[in-house]
Amino acid sequence: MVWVNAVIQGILVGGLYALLATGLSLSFGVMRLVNLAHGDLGMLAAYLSLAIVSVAGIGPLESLVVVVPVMMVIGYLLQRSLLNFTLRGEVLPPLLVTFGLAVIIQSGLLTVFSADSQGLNAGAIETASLGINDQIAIGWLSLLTLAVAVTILVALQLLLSRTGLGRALRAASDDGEAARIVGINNRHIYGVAMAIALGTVAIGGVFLGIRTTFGPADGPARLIFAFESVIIGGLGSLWGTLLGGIILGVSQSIGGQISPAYQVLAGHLVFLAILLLRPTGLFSRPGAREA
Amino acid sequence: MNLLEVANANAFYGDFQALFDVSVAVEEGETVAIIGANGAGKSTLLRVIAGLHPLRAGTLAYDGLPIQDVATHRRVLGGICLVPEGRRIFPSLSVDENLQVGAYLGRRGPWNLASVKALFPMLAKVARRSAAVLSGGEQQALAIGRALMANPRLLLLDEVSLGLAPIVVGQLYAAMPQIRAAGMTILLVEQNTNQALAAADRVYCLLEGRVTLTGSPADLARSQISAAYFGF
Repeated sequence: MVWVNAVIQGILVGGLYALLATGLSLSFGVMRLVNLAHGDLGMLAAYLSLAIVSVAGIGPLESLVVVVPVMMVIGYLLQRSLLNFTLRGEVLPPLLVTFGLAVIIQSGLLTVFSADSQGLNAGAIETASLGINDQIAIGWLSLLTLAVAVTILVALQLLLSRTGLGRALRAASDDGEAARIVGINNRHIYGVAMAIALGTVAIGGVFLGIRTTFGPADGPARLIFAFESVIIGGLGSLWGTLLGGIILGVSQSIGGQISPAYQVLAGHLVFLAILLLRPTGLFSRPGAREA
Repeated sequence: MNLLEVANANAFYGDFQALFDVSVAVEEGETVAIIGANGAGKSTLLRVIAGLHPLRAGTLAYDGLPIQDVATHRRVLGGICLVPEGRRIFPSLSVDENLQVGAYLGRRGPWNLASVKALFPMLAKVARRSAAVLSGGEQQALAIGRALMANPRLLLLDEVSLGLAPIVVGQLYAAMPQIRAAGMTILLVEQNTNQALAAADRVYCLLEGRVTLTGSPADLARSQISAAYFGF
């Protein structure tokens, strides 16, 4: 029964990983941008929520109403004013610029909020759980995180497949120059994609902040899990990202059940195994241009 | 008045000069063909007009206004639409979606999903299929249809016949009169000289980045054209 519990908890944690990874998957899928500052931007959202909670006296979940739009605006402006200029076909410029951005965000957070660990207090929901039997209890917060992750992915999938904006995003992803030919302003579309990406990582960052304590330098460690989720699922595939997050979560949870020391290691090993067996990931998108 | 006026255009790829003082004028409602051998600069000229390649010297006027500094998507809004070399359809979109994305800017006009499919019945049969699995001819029809969906005033066609069987080329060119019927201005690039001469009101011949001959197909002798085309 402990193993069943481990799997269930792993699936639930996978929801959080998927939330943190969705934006990474989207920005790679649409503009071939590997955003090394993605984890730090999630941390920025958590701190933003912390500031709003302490000033306005509302809960962190309520603060999302402000944090998400703010992060989306930051995403759009960041893409239009900086990241678009790194997308000239070479691999290195986006990596270097987003790495620099990561350092700036970490230093900024350290300066403003100090190195102390912080936590977001969401109240009773953090400890409330749904008891299945003596040994299995499902935390409402974890369940909410997974539900939010699935809802966001469904919404994003509908946006991409059913709307004019979604068609433009996919067209720009397929062939940037051909997209310009049909009248799509790539710079704007990339800005919109980054706005969506940061909107999702903002939700991920706040849920992470409710779940565990966090510090200004925690971004890169979160980025690794997000990267692994994306790679396991296959680059550019949204459902793959959810599955990747769940596989990673379950691996860690089972590893942790064997011995707490193996928790993170088990996740990395499964990631490496999948990379070895299926280098393109489980759900790599057919028909898309090779990266 | 000329709808499009290219004057003394010079374009480069790095240090390599692709266009030397090229001047081309197209009147509203006209169909003009640019012929020339491989590497003569035909596609570069169309890319310059569409805004995909920078002009280093010279001017570009559309509807009487200079457009050399206007972004590609704004030129589309103004009615300049390119059917690019190699078709460049979107492989992860379905045929219908490729057409719909062509209407992204929503210019008004006679062309919509129904009229484009009526023009190219071969597209109606594969509407829901992924554009990646189409035959070459279907892809070319889709590329033309996608451009028509924007309801252009000036349609730029780059190498429609390239790599296609003669019968398919015939089918595509058979659509030309219907496209022109609504008063569309067309500037087309062709290596297939016979096809170009048959379709165009006037032709320009490019040789190594320079205009070597212009005139209407009826006035030009075969020998003149081949001299302008090959340079001997």
